[in-house]
Amino acid sequence: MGRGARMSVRVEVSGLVHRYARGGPPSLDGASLTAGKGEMLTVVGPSGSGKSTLLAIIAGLEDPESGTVMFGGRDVTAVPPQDRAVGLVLQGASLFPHLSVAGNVAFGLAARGMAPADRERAAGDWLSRVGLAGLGDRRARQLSGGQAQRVALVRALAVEPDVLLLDEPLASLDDQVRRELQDVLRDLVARTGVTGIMVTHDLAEAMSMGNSTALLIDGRVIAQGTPQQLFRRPATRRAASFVGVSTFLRGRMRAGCLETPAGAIPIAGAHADADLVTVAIRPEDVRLATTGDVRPGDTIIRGSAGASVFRGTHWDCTVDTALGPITAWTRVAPPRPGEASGVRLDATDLFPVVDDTP
Amino acid sequence: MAAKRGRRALMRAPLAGRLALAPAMVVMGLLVAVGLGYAVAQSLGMLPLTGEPAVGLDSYRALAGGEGGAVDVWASAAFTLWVSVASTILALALALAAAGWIDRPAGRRRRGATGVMHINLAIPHVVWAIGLLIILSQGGLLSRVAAAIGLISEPSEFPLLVRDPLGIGIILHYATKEAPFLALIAYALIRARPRELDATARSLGATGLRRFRMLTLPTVLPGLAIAGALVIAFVFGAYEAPVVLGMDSPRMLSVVGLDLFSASDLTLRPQAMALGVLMAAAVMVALLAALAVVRRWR
Amino acid sequence: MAMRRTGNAVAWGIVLLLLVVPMVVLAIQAVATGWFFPQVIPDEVGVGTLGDVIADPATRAALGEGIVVSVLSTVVSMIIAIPAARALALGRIRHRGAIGLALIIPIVIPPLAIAMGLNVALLRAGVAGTTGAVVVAHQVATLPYAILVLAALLTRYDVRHEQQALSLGAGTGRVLTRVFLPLAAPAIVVAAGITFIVSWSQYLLTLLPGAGEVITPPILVLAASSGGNPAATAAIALVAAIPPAVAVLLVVRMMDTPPRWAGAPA
Repeated sequence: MGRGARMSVRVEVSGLVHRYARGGPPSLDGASLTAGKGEMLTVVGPSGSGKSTLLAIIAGLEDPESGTVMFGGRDVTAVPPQDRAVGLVLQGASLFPHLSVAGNVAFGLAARGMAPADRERAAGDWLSRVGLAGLGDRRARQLSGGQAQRVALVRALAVEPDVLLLDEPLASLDDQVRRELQDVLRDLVARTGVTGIMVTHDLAEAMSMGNSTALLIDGRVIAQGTPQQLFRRPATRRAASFVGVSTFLRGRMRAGCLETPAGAIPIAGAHADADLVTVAIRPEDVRLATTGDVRPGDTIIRGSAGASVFRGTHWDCTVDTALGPITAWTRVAPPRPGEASGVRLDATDLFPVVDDTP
Repeated sequence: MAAKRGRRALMRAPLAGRLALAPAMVVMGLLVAVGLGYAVAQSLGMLPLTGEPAVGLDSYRALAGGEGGAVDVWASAAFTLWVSVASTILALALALAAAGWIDRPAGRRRRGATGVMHINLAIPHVVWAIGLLIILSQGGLLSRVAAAIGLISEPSEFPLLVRDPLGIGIILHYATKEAPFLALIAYALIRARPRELDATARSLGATGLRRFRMLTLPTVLPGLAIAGALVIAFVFGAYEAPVVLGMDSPRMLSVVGLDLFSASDLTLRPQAMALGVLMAAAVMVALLAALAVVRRWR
Repeated sequence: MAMRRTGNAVAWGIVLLLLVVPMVVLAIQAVATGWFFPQVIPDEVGVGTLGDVIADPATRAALGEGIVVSVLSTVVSMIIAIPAARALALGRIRHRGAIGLALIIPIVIPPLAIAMGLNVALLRAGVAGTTGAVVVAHQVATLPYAILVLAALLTRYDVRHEQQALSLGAGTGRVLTRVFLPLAAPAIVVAAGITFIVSWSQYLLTLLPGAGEVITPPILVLAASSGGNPAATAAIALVAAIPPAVAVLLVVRMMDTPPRWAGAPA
């Protein structure tokens, strides 16, 4: 089995700036993040946010314009990729087509000068570990997507890297295969103790796979924290939007209440007075005024019901209020459009966010 | 993720930078510079074979004036230009016909034809020229076929197709030799066209001539235009076919040049060099002009 | 449907006429001991002339010389072209268009000019008339083709495999020999084949730098054509056409058959 947590390293990336064309727009604009030793960091963001470039720089396949990459306190920014002890798994497996499956897994070991017999044995071991024993002689094109991705995974892990980098490894797989592979990945990373950095555009995947998640938007990491923190209490408006928050209220903060045209809305927690704050609430926490019990600390904002959309697990019901349209979740049949309605906001569900929209 | 395969995925690859490109550019640059340089030098009288260097445009003047080898370089130049353009136009016409035939909605690509065209590309120009000589000469195969069907009774009754003042033999040579090359380019362009255009054209009811005009031509014309310009330049400087299929006067420019070069009168050498330099300059100027036109057109 | 079929037949007829007839005619001429007007088909055939030509030491020497020159030219061109094509296809070179143009120029410039100048230069260097001199001169024509064809074919090459290999710890040498060469082999073979063919057909770039000492088949053919023996000329012409024809058949074969490990696309 791998070398265990003591060989994996802490990865610190700071201030990475990168441009594809000189004088062109930056693909990374001062991105910084940290992956602790043995931790799995997921990096999530919309397409074009620079996620793959970030990974390429950490792998050494791209040079940043400025910024540093540190492995365990050592500056590796100028170190070429073959000397960096990273494992790389790309989307779509991209196994070497001219080598057998076992040849693929053994490739890195051969590069390190391991004897053929030892390589073969090691490759066989790794393949067994992911349930592919006996498939060593096959070619890449004879494998299914899930199988190929497993091979790509053990190929990267066979060289016992300090850091495992994954670029959307599960994106091209069917849901079922994807879930299986998520388990395989989680298991392997945990058992080898390697530090993992995984890039994905799928928020759910990012949160389920990572101990820590970083949001990369427009070339900068605008938030990093545990998935729970990021999901339930994002710190900025852009981060909140990315994790699905759509309800933002603005106004003056006085005595722990947000003063709005619809009245003063109490916000749980201690908040300093300020002239303009933005307060957010997760969509699933916005309830209809007509359903459930009203508790102290709840705010009711009256309005008339608008259109409702069925989402499978709930209805999205948009209520037109004095503060604009607010979308509430409801499990029961929503009111018809035009009916008098309202939304109910719990003070403990409201949280301030920093408005970092341009 | 197909988009990733493009420029954005070009991250560091070993032996793919400026250093990798350098040897090729240096070798090419050196060879062309040395070749043209010495030609220019000798044409200006700087490296005479006999006697003292006498730098000047004498050789150019002699060339233009037709001294020495009784060379009418202007007639040759006009003839060469005529042959280059005519053969290229003919080759383009054949290639366009081929493109139209290839680009049929039925879509069954004839693999065999491309194979035959590839063989044609491999045959050296001298060989092709000699083959054409046998076919087209007054006592050649075509004239014999004509005799067999009773059109003529004597070889001299057959029209002069080779070693003729219009250069018909030469034109046919380059038309048939370059048409497959152009057709293969057209074929590649047609294959590279996105499938949606094809479906769109078909749904709009484009068939036959209309399809050719609206779909095939726009696909192949830009590439063929550039290739056609290159073919004109190539035929302009060619030697093998003109020497086999051409007559004594007017000769094509390369033939004139080599004759001047290999003449026993060594004082003609600088004129040969001058001719070579002028030909090279003419082609480069023409290409740059064509480039400027293309750029403005875009 | 009948229209389509006759159209096909006509098209095929034209294709054959334009592409094949001259070669067939050469073949007939080579074996015709007497073929005069108005015989469409020769009265007498015999392989005597053809045999003489093949047995002639001059023919064999020219064939040998031609093969040596073309193979060497191809090797030299490919060695220089592979890194250059990699740079153009895989690297991030700016002004790619200008470089492509710069590479096309040597092909379109009349070979006479460069051949004469190189002749002078090689004479002064004392190496004119050697095989090496001709190989160097051929680079003017072969190098651009080698680079441009290989670069065009390499656009289908997935450079991510090399990145993967680097991340697995393979050094530059290993990446090039164990990943690039196997995966790019078909492209390299095609480019080499085309380069060989281009080198084989050269006339002026062989004649002048060769200073009359390096005789390749095209030179022999042209010399024979001014002699009095049409059958011998045709025979030499046929012989001269064989090596490049073989080369192109190999190239076409390579282009049509995917390598062992490719099979159906993933």
